[in-house]
Amino acid sequence: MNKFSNYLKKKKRVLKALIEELMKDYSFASVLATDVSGKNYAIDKNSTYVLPSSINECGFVVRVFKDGLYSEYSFNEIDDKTISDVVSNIKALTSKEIKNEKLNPACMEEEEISKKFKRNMQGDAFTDEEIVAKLKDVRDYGLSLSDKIINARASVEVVEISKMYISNKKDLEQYYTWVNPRVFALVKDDKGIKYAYDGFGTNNLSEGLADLMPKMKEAVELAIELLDATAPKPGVYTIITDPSITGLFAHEAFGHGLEMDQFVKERAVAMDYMNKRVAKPLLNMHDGAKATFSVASYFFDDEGALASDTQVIKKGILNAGICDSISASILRIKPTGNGRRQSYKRKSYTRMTNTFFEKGKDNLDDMIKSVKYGYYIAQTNNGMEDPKNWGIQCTALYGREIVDGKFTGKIVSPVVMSGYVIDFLESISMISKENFNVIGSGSCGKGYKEWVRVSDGGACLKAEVKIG
Amino acid sequence: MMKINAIIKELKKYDKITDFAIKELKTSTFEQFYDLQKLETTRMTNTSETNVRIYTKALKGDKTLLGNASFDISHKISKSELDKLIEDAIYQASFVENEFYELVEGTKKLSFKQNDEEKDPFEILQEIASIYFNAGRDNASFNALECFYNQYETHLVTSRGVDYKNKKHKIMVEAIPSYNANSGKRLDNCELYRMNEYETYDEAKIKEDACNAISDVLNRSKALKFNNHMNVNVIIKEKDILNMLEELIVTYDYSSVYSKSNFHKIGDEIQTNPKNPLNLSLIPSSKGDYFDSDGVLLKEAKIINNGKLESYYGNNRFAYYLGIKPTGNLQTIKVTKGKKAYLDMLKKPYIEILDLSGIQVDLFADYIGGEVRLANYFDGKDTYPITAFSFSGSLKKCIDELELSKEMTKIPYYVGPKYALLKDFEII
Repeated sequence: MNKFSNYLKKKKRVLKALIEELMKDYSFASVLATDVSGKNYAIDKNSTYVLPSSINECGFVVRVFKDGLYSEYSFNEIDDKTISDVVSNIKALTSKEIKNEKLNPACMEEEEISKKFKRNMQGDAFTDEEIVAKLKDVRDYGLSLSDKIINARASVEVVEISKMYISNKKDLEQYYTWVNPRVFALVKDDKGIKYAYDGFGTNNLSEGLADLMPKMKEAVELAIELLDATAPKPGVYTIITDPSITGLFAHEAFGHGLEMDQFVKERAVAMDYMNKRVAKPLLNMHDGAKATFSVASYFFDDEGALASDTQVIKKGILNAGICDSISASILRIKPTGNGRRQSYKRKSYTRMTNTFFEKGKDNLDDMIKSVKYGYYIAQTNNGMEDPKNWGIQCTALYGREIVDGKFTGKIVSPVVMSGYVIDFLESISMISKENFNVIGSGSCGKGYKEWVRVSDGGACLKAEVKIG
Repeated sequence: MMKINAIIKELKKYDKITDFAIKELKTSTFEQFYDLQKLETTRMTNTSETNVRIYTKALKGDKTLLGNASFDISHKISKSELDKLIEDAIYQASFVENEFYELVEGTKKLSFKQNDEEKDPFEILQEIASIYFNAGRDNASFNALECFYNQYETHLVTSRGVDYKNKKHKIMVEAIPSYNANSGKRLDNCELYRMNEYETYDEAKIKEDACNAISDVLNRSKALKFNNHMNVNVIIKEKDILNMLEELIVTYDYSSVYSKSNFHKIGDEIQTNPKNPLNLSLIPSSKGDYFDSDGVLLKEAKIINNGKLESYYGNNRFAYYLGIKPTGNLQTIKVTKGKKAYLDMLKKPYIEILDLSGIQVDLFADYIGGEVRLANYFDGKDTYPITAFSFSGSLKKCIDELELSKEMTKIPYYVGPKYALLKDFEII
């Protein structure tokens, strides 16, 4: 723990030799080397698991540019003896006859930089056995809380990331860690079976494990409460979003439309709104690996572009998009450090990182008091993007009914929200001033694939939305 | 990459390891990415990875427990590096323990190899792209297209005599059919999302999918924003039927049954007084998918018979605990033919959903619904495309009153009726 990959260090010389060799034939050549290793610890009533993390990877991806076309080759074996095989495979790939028309983008331009970055795991270190023991305590605590509990699960994913990017201009190394603690509770009575969950991201394992106990208590209490939940009556309601639902809207409803690889494909209606008003002036939104600290915080992206903080909405005006390096070369702009891959085996795309709405000036209590009839919507479930048509689909685990500014005690579940992005943004009338966490417990796909870790969040919003 | 036999030789040196399973996966992919029907990037991958699982049987008090641990090998490693991984795994297995269960016993060595395509993978990808681009018409084309030809070679070997191999490939196309309006205003444009998978290079099917995608997006370009709040029958198709049925049977797997979170017991009615009783099986996804990661040989398992729960399904471990035979990890749902012809479904007012942003189904909350991006609405007189509305209702009621079509379909992970009629859903 807290050490850059030895394996990648050992491969650096041969990877530099590979780039030197490729630069003889190509106008651009780079290699990203990754060593991501982690474990997923999970304990429930019936099972104890410690498994390799599903995002573990160790390998290389080369990118070259020739005759108006980018080509990439992903592999996981290279040494002095096999370097010529790798070069041959890349040449075989780039010599394939292209019958269809090419896009002919400009070749990527890079600035010279050589740097090593590091962000260690904070707090106390634990052995696998100690982590399992702590999770057992959380599970047992959850199971003891009610006779309605039929299962309780405590889990934590601990991941170390080492990445190295080498081109003829860049020599970058980064090491960082993150932890995803999660809880899940399943309860049953004569009315049915219900569940609740929670999760968050941190780079402090001891704090993360300590926080699981109160999270388990909250999950069990919520699951029991949900046994009495009803489906909301379809309609348009005033809502107050909790920070996770604010993040869900920021990410799904709006963020995907600002991924500038969609601009290249003419898939984003946001192109027509650049420098125009999309919301009331009280709204400010950011995305960036450097914008805050959460699980999508890194130092450089999977194309060697340094991380940044992009203010996408500034006082209600659409200020900027986020961009990967290939799309930036086509659009002739600077990349924002948002080029991310699911793994070295996959293509990079423009992807969000930490996405959030800034806090505002309103007191949350005043916001709730101002609702005549509506819901406080909480706990992200899922969402789906629609960058071209700006449709919204965001699902929350539950909503608490508010009548005349007070909670009635009635709870609804699930809450499926839909509508049109601009209508939603325009409807935001209050933003809370309380601090919030940008929570990173989930993954984001592009369409239905290319999963990467992201975080999102924001201050509580008062808005109007269709539920049904 | 270290050979399986060399790994076995090392594992056998450790007395504490009572059993092991080794899975080797070799992957080759060929990929092309198009923006605005022009090639942006080509990609190729060539990787080999091995996952090693070890098991340790231990007696603790009066209980027999089975410890387990696993590790991945993703590049060439030395014998001493392998020994370190094995020793760490043995240590982990000493405290990652579960109730004992017997591992799967193998039969004879088995192997399956799908026939290779006659053409070079990149040639196939370029032809697929051309088929898609040629389907464009009337200002509709594919603003984004990603084509994949993926080859997988899997070899599973266990200490209990499992030695199964398969070699297969699949073709995948992610397509964004897009309509670009004459007005030049992006707000007047629209698009849909399509992900299609093919076991073999089937030009006719690919052409049909490309043409349908273009027709659908042209429909969306004419669709009216639907603002009516009403109740009406809803027709869903293929992938949405699959998602609904996956959720319906989610608690009948052995692990849910073992933790007593299953919704029904064997013999219970899943549908109450159904006019159209459901018959649902789980089957292997293809000839090549004849074993699961435990080494269970897969064959059809009937789960719902005439609307009643016929059997549970699941993996080897929880089957052992329940004292029943494992069905293994079966991933495809098969449903028998329905009674109603598609055209008969269209006789009364309906909304036929052609594109959802993602169907939302929650068995625990008794909910089914979602945001609709394209549908056809028949108001009893005229049919017209509509968009931007939601539908919702009770999953239980929907299953009780479910009507399935006589017309059948086969898509990845689903073989069964192409259309399902859901009665009296709320539209907003």
